[in-house]
Amino acid sequence: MENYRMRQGAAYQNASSRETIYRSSGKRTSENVDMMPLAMAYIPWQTFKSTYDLKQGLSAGTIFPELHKPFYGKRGMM
Amino acid sequence: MNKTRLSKEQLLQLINEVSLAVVDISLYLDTHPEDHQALCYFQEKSQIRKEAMEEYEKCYGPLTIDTANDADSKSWEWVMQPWPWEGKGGYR
Repeated sequence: MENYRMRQGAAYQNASSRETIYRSSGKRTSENVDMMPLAMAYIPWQTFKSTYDLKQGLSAGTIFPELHKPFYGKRGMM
Repeated sequence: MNKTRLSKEQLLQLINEVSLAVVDISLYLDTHPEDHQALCYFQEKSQIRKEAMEEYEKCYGPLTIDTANDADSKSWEWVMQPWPWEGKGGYR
């Protein structure tokens, strides 16, 4: 568990700074990405929402609808 | 869900589906170890997987080497099962 905490320290730090930004702006972090220090990479914090049913999950390769990003070979996908 | 009504193929399909769910939620829990909803989801799906695998192994033989040592069997059931390349449920 201690090793886990050490490894995940960065993730927890990011989570708390995310909350700070939420509190100060009241907006989503991604909308305030211009305020973040340059040359760093940021990953939005995932929260537990809905899940696919089991069949859909296996078909999509994830149980999380927000992580289902089918590859169409061109353009991006939101 | 009455798993005893499931055919061999349906049971294996359920095991595949629920296994993906268990792996995916475990990845989520790696970064969210205190997420109560996720823990509940893991426990629920993990139990379904365990029961489905026990049911399959009872009816059709072992899926993993962990359950291959069946004292009731008079033969080495492990090798009697279809190999992965033998397709869904095996072609024999």
